[in-house]
Amino acid sequence: MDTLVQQLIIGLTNGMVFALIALGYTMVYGILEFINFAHGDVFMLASFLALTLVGALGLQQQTGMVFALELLGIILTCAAFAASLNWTIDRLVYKPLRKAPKLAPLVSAIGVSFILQNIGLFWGGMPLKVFGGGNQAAAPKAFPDLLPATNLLGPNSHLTLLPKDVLVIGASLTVMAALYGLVRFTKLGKAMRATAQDPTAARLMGIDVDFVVGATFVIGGCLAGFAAVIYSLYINTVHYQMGYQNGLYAFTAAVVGGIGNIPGAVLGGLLLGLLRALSDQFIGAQWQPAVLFGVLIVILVFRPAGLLGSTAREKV
Amino acid sequence: MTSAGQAAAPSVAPLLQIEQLTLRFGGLTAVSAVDLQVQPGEIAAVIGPNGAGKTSLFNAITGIYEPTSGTVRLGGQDMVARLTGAQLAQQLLAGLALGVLALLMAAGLDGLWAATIKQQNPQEFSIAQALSDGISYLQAQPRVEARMGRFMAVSFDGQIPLGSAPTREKAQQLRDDVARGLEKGPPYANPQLPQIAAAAATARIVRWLALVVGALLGAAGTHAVWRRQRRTPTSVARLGVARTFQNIRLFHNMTVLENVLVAMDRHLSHSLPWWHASRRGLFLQLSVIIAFLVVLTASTRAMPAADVGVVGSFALLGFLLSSAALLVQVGRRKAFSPADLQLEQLARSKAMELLAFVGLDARAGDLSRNLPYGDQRRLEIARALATEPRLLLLDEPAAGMNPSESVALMQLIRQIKGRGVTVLLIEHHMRVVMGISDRITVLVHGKRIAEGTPEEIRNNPKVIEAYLGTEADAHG
Repeated sequence: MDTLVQQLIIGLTNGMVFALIALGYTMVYGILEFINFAHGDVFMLASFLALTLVGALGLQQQTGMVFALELLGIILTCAAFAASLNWTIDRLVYKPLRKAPKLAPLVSAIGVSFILQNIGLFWGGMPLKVFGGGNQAAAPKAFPDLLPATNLLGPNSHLTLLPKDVLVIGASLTVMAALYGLVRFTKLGKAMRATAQDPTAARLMGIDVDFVVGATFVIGGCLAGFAAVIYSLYINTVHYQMGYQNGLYAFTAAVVGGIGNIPGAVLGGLLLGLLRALSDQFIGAQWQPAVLFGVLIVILVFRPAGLLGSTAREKV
Repeated sequence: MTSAGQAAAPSVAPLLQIEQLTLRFGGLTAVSAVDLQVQPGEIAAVIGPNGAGKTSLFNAITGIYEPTSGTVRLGGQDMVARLTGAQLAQQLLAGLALGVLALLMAAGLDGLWAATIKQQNPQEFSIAQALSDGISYLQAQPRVEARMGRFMAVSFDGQIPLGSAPTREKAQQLRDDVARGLEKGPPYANPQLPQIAAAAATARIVRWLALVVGALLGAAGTHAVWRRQRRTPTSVARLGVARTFQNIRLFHNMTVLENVLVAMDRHLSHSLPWWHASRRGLFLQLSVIIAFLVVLTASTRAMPAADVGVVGSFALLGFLLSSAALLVQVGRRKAFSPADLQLEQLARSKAMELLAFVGLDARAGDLSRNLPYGDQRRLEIARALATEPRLLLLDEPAAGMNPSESVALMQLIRQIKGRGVTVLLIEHHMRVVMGISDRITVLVHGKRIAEGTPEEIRNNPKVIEAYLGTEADAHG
């Protein structure tokens, strides 16, 4: 029983991170019907920035309030950085291709993904002290374990709930609730939903669709930057290919949940995280990818549009 | 306002003025040199057999298609978006980005990498040092590199050593002396100095040129792209043209009320600043949540392990409670939207008034895809009216309506005219067209063949010739 609950905690935390990245994929897809393959690499670069800032501020040495506020500052900076990066990519690369066939922006996105990975290699090759003093660009970089391994449930409990688990779950939930409120209740959210359903009609109602698309990339970037700090704090490793790998998982989560659907992305992310944790515990870590994607294939066979996706395509 | 059936007085400036509008798709000319004027306050109609280019004309007016030639003016002005500060900043930023890119290409990325990172001592690497090295590299200045435990002043391209010293400061002094051309004996008197200086000067000129030309090209290019695309459906809609569609294009997954609110929101923008009193509560709550998270994080690092559990669970509890409170409020729409609670209510009452105007107020909460066909058409009209247009374009509003529905529709269009909105419609339904139009334009194969009052059009031999077959269908 304890192992099960423990794995649920691990799965939930992992799933939250996947969900945060998946939201970026799903929001862009919902509006442009386009898969932004560079999203995962924006996430990767934001985590490099987080590590660089941790080193620059000397966060390992700080304690108490200063530490917490600086950590908050790092989270905000990384979110702003990823948001502006995502927005810039959209304006420079995807926007000129809005009216092009759907494959053109897709291939451009793959290209951007490789360019960003190269920038990640460059960044990782800088001989910063936080990168371990070396300049082996491709090596994984250790992210310092900033949150102590104190069990919040007390030292004698069978279950472990670390501060970082709480931080990941709590902060992710807050961000997701804010996103839900934004999309559901604000004017921008209404404009986003209208644009997703019919961009031309939205334009004719005076909605600035370019602005809405830009805002979507900014929000997706914010989530990726936020996820990057959270992920680095949790996994304690930063690597130039982590965006590719996690992006693939998050993209899968978005598709399984029903791409274009915001609650679907969260559901898909959590499902992926839980499946991963459970299969690691009860089947064996070496079988993880096979078990994971096997289950997902079965889900897609029965619900091709994803768990919360709608099968009915609207006729124009 | 001109009286129905009579030609408009020429002194009134037309609301919509189309001159010599041509729209070509490859070899196909959909609209060919069409002139059309709509006077303020009238109901004008465009008729013509299928494929006459009527909807293409609407698309050209609303900015969906860019006209091949000709002008479309509303109230005497071109319907183009004005250059906003944000767009200007965006264009300048694109220019800057391209300029910097051109500069990096001209200076060489490999050289930059060598100057800033490769030739530095990993133990004392700092971002500030790398930045200042990078800038002096881009300026083609001689610089200091770490080579084999010593610091060496080298020429701007890193090719020619100018002398070495055991510390960075000494090497920098050496570099500065060389840069100033001071000759202090053998280590400084390098016979290659004049060539180096000449090459550096050339490199400087090339790099400046690259920066400036790149920046100009980037800014001018993005500006040109913007100019070409500034007549967008959005800009047209914001200048007061609204439309409905031949095949209904509602936001099907929104409620009837939301469809109208979406179109209304633009008029409510710039409403309340984010720090407005009605939003302060939201920000207060968010800061409480963040504060709990900060305390939670801080406590885990500041306290002995035994105490963390107590403070941690307190902060965790506080975090969960305050988050839950916020969620409940969001759920009950006490937060976020009612930021502009009054405005929201104003918008709602306006939207309800519009829905009542078209007779849909009883179905405000239904999803729009669940409405019957005729109601969807009327909702589209209400949504278009919500943008507060000066000119309303209706694309076949009576399509698929039975006789009693189309009588009601005629009544509705007259009431829209009564609200001071000018109407331009496309319609095949001759009874509707002849019954409500002040002025009719006939298009055939993209060309205007006749224009006049319903009476004139009915008796025009050219129109009868072009139309005979289709008119019978329309009465079907």
